[in-house]
Amino acid sequence: MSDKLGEVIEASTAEFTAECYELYSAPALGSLVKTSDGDVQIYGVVYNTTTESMDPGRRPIARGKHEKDASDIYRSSPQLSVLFRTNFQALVIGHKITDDVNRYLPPRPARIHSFVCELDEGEIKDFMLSLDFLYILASTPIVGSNDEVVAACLRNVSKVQDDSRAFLLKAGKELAVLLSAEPHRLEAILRRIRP
Amino acid sequence: MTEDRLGIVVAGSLTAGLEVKLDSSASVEDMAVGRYVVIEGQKSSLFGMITDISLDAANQQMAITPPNVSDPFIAEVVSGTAVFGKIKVRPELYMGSDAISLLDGPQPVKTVPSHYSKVRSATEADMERIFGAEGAKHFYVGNPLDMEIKVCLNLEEFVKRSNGVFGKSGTGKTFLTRILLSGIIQKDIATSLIFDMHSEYGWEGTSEHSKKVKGLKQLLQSKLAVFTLDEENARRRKVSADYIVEIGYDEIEPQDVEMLAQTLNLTQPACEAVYQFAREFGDGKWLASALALEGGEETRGLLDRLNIHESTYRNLRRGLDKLSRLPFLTGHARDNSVKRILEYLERGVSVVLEFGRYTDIVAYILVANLLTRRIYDRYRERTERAMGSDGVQPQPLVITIEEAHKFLNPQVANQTIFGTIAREMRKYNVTLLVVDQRPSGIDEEVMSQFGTKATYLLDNERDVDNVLMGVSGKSELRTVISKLENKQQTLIFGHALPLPVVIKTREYGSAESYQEFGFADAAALKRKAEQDKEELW
Amino acid sequence: MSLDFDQVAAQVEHMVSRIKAGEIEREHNLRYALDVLKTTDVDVLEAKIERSISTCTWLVAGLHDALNHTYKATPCPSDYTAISTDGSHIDVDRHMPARCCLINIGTASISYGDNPNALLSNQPEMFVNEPFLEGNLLGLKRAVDECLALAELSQETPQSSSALGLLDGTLILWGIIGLEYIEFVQELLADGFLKAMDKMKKHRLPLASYISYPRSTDVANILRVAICPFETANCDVKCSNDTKCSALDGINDRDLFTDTLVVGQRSAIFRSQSRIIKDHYREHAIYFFYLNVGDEIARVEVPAWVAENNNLMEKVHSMVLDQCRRGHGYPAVLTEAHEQAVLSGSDREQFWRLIEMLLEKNDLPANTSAKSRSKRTGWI
Repeated sequence: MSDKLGEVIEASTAEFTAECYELYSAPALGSLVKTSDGDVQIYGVVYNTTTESMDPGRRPIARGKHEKDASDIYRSSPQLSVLFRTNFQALVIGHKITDDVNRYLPPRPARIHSFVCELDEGEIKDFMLSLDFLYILASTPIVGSNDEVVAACLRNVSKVQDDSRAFLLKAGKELAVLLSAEPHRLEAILRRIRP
Repeated sequence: MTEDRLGIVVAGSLTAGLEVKLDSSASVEDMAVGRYVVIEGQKSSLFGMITDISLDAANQQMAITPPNVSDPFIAEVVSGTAVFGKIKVRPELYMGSDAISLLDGPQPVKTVPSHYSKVRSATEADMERIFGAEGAKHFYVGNPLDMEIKVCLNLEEFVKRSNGVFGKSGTGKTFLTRILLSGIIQKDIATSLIFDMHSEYGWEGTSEHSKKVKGLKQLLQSKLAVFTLDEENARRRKVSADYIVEIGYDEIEPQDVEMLAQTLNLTQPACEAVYQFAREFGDGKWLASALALEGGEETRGLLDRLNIHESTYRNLRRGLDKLSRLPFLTGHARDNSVKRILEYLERGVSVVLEFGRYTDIVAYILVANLLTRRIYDRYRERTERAMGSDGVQPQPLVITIEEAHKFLNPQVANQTIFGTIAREMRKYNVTLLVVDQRPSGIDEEVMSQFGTKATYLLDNERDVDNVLMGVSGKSELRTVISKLENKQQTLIFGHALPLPVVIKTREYGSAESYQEFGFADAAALKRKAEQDKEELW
Repeated sequence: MSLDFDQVAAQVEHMVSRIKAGEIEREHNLRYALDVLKTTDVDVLEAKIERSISTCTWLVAGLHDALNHTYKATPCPSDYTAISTDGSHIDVDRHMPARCCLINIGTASISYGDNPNALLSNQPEMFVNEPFLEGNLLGLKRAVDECLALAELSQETPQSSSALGLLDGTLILWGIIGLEYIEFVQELLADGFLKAMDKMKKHRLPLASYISYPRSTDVANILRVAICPFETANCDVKCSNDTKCSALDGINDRDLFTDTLVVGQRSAIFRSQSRIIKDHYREHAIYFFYLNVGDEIARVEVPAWVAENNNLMEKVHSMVLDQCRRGHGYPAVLTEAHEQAVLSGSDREQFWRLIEMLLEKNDLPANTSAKSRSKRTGWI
């Protein structure tokens, strides 16, 4: 895998957590990432990113009172960038076995230490040929708001579509069916993705 | 075919029709009652007609707190998904997909398709499969709404029964009738006797904008003869009539008068008096004799003898005087018109009888009734003879009458020849083509015997009811009728076509349309007409 | 059972009142001490210290340059690397099935300036069935290992660049007192500590160790010698209970320099007169000074080759100060080395559990003492 961002440090069937190699270099909210379980490529949507102290016993303290710029804090205390780590959590939305792309959960979760990288444009287009994954994304309980993640994901992937408006429209209609019983949620998402 | 997909079947029944949820890509605004759809079942497809269109929402909340549809994106997303359109489809025909079914063609439906069967717009290929292509028996009458394909009537089936063309005035009844007749005659399916009250069928007629349109003579030439009751009028219109019809008093029978009782304001005893006169003076002479009666003793003696009351006589006499004022009615006709007409018909030449200036309903009823009865008798005789000796049956005859409710209203339908013809169907190879703007006036029983009906817009509920008498799925068709446009759109249903269809009547009146019908150049026609005439005499 | 705080509270109150009384006396003593500090003739005093050194009960620091001089810090170089090591250990537990112990050395190397960077790591090492290695000796070995690791780390900093080597606590291996005869200890000194010092000296690393909140009295004891009414301080012979120098009771070095040093200033350099150094440290004699880092007075110890090199001294002074500034009062690099080294309670627990597990897996006796089990399970 090229351009690996990090590796899996925690995995379950429905989601995985990856630690970034570089502090603050997690993919954007709603990005599509992939990792693997052997030959099975597992696709996920980034739904949560955290940066925290490596050592749960050490909490960051305010340091910048006399610094001009927040980045100066990292310059005057270089150890900070190795004391924090950035993790991101991705919800599994599909997988690929040989050449078959499936928009449902893989048979087994990702392996710990599997590399994680972002999907390239071609892979995104391929995966987005069907929007079945929206069901998983909209209904699996996650930390934070599903609706925000759905919206962010659609905004992201629409950028690589040839006709992004048509794509968002198609996705919107898929959501309208999924969320027909929750019109307020539907509208909230639509307001976030309208082109 | 995916572009054509409209939605899926979600509910319904064979009798109440199927409910179809429209896909988000199909807008309700593009739907129209009367339009055709194909329902793709697993084993077969069903052909049906849209009979209702409605709006629905997946969740009631959508109706109570509508989303912000001022945003075009949101509006576009929710339409067809969270809120959607529904159409009601009346299943009409079943089309199997195996080879045998293909040979058999569409069959009446006996079941409904399974849940979530796909529904798509009927394509031209579908329509052609249903309505057949133009051919020896199939005649192009119009196009389904928003479609280029031709709806064809099976004319052979058509003439087997009596048929009706209905609609309020100005909607296009005459146009359709003219088209139907041109087909029937041109394709030698039947000959026709047309009682042309307003002189619209023969040489030329008028369209809505008082524009002249060509009549059947110009199209059918030697296959059609124009007879007239009003020579002068024909001359004024520069129409070369093939024959001037005169009717002698001797041809009028008591029942012809009885038919006119209502129009002539005759009382019941007056009608009976007619029969008494006939017995007294003899069948052929009674009218002349009755008209010749002077007011003297002799007459009074006759009346006393016949037990006819003075007031009854006066009532009858007023009516008969009115009759006698009809110019084409003469004491003794130069020729036997009935015989002449029959001659033509037997040669396979259809006859248009123009009434000229005599648009009075008295003349129309009298003449139509009188001629029809004679002609019918002749046909019956010939048919029975043919059946007895395995001889050749006469070519079917279609008698076209306007203002049909005058002949077929419940009071007279049982007695008139028209009622008989309508009920007997094709027994004696004579059927009616009825043109009427007030179908509620036609006897229900007669109406239900009609094979094929074409109806334009009707305002009156009772008219609609009567037209739909004896038809299944009445309520859906009623909706369809009420949504017809003012002109040119007609719902045709009955034996001559596999299922009810709303069509825009085939164009009639433009140069191209004439060409399609097979009109020859006008000058050539004229010449040909003259020639025909010469040959005839 | 939990502590009976009713009883404790009463005793705490009593203690507080006593401290309060002592504080007044201490304040008086301090003012006197400061007065002495300012007025003492250094040359005379130096001779007197020399004379008294073997007869005085107190550990008296040797004078190096002056007694009451203060020094401002030179500007700290903007580009420098601070390196530090720290250690922690798990001692032998006789309740456990195997006789073993563990030393974990944490290292931190933080570079400041144009290419900021930080390398933090730790290296655990386990010792099995080493006969002497427990208790004090284990502590000693850990201190020596820290020095060795720092010497190792120092080799990675270019000689010419600005670097600071910093250790936590004292450079004086107090732990060897009474154990010098043990061969193992001698080896530790010769092959460990001294070799490490040699290496760093050769590399000319500004090396220092940092003692926060020091309680040493080396300098205060100089004042005791100064006010001693006798030519030579010979406490055992001349003084019994009531002595003149008891006027300086309760005063330690920190108290003295709290008043004399402003923020950033350091004291004069003093020489530790500890016998350990004289006996074992060869040329690496330990000097020290006090430094006002802002939040407190810290004691900084340096080897002789730093104390005697003005350039290295200036570097140590400015960099330690800079480290304390960055570390909010405590050298940042020390914090990180410590965090790398530190072994939490759960680390220790897991260490023993791992040993038990692996023993059992290999069908070896993994019996722990009943006391150990009882402590771990906490059952009733």
